[in-house]
Amino acid sequence: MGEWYYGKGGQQEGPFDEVTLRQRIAAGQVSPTDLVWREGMAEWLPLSQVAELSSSSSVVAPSSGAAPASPYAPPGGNPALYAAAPATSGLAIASLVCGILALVSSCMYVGILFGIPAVICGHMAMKKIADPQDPVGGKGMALAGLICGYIGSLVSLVIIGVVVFALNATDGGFSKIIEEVERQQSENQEQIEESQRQVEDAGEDAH
Amino acid sequence: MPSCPLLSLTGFQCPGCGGTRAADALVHFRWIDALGNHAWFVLVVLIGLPVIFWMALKEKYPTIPGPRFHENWLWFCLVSLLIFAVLRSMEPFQWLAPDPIKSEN
Repeated sequence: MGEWYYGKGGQQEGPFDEVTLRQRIAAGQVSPTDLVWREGMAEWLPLSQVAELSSSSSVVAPSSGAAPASPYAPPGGNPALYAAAPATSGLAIASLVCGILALVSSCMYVGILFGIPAVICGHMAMKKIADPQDPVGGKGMALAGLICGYIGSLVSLVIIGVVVFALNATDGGFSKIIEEVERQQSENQEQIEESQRQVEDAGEDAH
Repeated sequence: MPSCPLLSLTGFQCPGCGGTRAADALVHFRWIDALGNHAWFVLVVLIGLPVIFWMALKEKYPTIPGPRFHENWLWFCLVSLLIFAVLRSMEPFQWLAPDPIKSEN
C-alpha cells in the first residue's frame, strides 16, 4: 500500500496511509483542488482527478482542463526525496557522544569506560538502522561513534596493559610505576635541555 | 600529578592529552593554564556543556530562546577535536600542546 502525500498552502503534508487520507478528505482538510501524490503516479494531481480517491469527495470538482502546475515535485519526481529523512536514532547520537568522550580520555584508563557504551550503542543503532520495517537514520553517526569507541577503548586497554605489565615487572606498588614513568620523563627532558644547550652554544660560537 | 602515560611512553599526544591538567586548572580558576593545556576541552566544558544543556531544555520547552539541537553540532565537536589533536602535534602549534611538552621547548 503506497503512502499518500498532499499539498496544502504551499506545504507538503504526509506521508499518510489511505485510510488517514480519506479521513482528512472527509473532514474537509483536503479539497478537490489540492494536489495529491502517491508512489506510482506519474505526477501530482488535484484530488478531483485522482479516481480512486474522488469517490470520497462530496464536492463537485471544477472542470478545469490541465492539472495546475505542481509547486511540488516535478512530474515523475519522487516525494520520497522531500519526505522528511527519518529522524536520527538517539542511540546513534549517544554512540557518537560516548565515542568522542572515549577519544578524549583514551590514554587514561577512563577511555574504555566511555568506549564500551560507545560500541554497544553503536552496534544497537546499526541494527535498528538496518531494520527495514522501522526506518530510522543516523548511520554515519553510528559508524563514527563505533570507530571512536573502538579506538578509544583500544588505546586505553593498551595503556592498562602496559601498566599492569610494569606493575608485575617492577615488583612494587602503583606509585612506583608513576615514579618510573616520571623518572623517564625527566630524563628525556634533561636530554632535550642538554641538546638545546648544545645548539645554543653552537649558535653563539657561530656569532 | 600523574603524567600522561601515552605521552611519556611514545611521545605521542592522544586527543585528550593535558585534559586532566586543564580540568585541574579550571577548578582552580586558572583560565590561561587551562586553555594552554587543552583548549578544546576547556571550550567544550565552559561553552559547549551549558549550550547542550540549554538545547536539551529546549526540547522540553520549545518556546525558550536559543538554538535548537542539531546533530551537526556533534559532528562539529568531533571534527574540531580531531583537527585540534593533529594540529598541536605540529611544530607551529606548540602553544596548544599540554605543559609537559611546552616545558621541553
